[in-house]
Amino acid sequence: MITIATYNIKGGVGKTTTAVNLSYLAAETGARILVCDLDPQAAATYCFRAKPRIRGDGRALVARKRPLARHIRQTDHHGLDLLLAHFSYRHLDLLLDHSKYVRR
Amino acid sequence: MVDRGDAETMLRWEERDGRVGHRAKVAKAPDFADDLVPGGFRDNLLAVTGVRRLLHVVTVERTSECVAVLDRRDKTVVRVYLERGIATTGARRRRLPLWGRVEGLLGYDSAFAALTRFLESALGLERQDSTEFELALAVTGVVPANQTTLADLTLDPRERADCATRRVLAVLFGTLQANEDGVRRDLDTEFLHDFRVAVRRTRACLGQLRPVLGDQLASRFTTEFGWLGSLTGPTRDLDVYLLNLVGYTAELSDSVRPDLRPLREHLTRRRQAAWDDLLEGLASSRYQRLIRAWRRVVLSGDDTNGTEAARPIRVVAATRIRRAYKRVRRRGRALETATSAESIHELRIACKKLRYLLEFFRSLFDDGPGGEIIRALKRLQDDLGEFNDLEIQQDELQESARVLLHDGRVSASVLLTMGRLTERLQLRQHVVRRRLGEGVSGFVNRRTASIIEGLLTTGDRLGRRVTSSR
Repeated sequence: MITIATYNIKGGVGKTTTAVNLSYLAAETGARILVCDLDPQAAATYCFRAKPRIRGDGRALVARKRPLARHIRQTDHHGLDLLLAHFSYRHLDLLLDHSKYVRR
Repeated sequence: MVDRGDAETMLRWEERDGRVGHRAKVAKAPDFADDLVPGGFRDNLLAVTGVRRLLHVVTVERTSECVAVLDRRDKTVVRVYLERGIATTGARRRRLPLWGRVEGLLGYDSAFAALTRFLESALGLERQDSTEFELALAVTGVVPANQTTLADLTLDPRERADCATRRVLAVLFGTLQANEDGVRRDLDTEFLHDFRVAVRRTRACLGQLRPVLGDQLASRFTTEFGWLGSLTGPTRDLDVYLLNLVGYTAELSDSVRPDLRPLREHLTRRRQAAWDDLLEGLASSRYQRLIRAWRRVVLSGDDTNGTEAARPIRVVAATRIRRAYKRVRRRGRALETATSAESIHELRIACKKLRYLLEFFRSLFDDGPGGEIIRALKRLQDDLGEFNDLEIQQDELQESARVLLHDGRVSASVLLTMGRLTERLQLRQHVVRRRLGEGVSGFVNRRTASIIEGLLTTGDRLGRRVTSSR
């Protein structure tokens, strides 16, 4: 798998916007795309006009207590789906660090 | 489905419930799944269609208006399409009813439910579960893959053997005819394959049920269907070779792979020549006569006058199956001592005859030869078939090398690569040969024997009951 990172230490320079637009272009080619918005600020979720809300919190997701599919929303664009953001993702790095499912 | 819009052509994967899975942009409708660019769509389609050609079924010219239902954030939560269309197939053109399609978006189930409730209760619309494709088929009256197979055939155990046999033959004749056009147009390799299987099954039926059909009829048509079998053989052998060559080539290292191109070209030329002969054969008066005469036999059956014609089919079938099994057992045991290619070929033919009988008469023995022995037989047959293909391919390879060398069309490196390929085929054949012993003991054993004997005793009981009640 090819990994493309859009990164910068500065905020507000268009990292999320670029990622969202790349995902749209990929979906346009016919590929099926899932955008995972793991940013507690929910900027990508906002781009797709979806409502950032998950019952429970990030812990339930990482502990696999809730199926991931339940938090996926179809966007307005064909073949492009979104995993909704949640405020609790601000602790995601810590959660993942302690999860028994994480493989390095 | 191929969506030809104003700007682009899209391939659409629609599930039976109308959900759209993959989509792929294409320049034109593909002939084969393999024509698509590598990716999820091609892989999924390949898994379904394999080497089969994608055939046009029906065209729908459609105008569609889309209404998006938005939530408070202006996010689309449901789409409603209003569609008008005309379905065309051949010269037939039919208007589709005005059609509303409600498309729910993943994660917005409650909006979808609310809207459909509104449409049904407030507007009084009726829900239809058929897809646009099914609707187009319904209005045009097209039935794709309209073929009766042996699996659809239900025989009555007490039916006269000649009537039942004729019904089996009628199904086979239907398959033969359904595939003839695809063979003539060379649409894909499977039309010829299915055509050949129908011919082989017919021949097996003629041979195995000779006492039912009568000597005169069986002899006459055995010769004719034998001719038809040999007419179609060379093309099929080369089809199999060319299909396998793709895999063989992939196993060789990159540097020598181009060396097989002259071989592929040579085989393609030979295949073309074989197919030309086949077409000529299908256009011949001998073929036309055969089909005309055979149709009469299958439909009227006046000529069937064998000694067992009037016996109940279940009794005849059980006896025939036992005989065929005994032949397999004999050949299978002989395999342990002599494993010449000929003895393996003979076992292969014996297995085929048995398998065909089991398939013809499956509906008679719901308590009998369950999937278990058919599965064991199939495993054995797969190995026998592969062994045979490898044998043919090695012969073909040697012959090709001789011809290519004679014509001066090849370099030493090409011949060396062909040599390497021969060795691979030999090795593979050696592996298959070693597996054959297991395959034989997996099928020729006490369990199979008792099941086969079981058929006969129930068959006998039924036979006696039928006879005594008359």
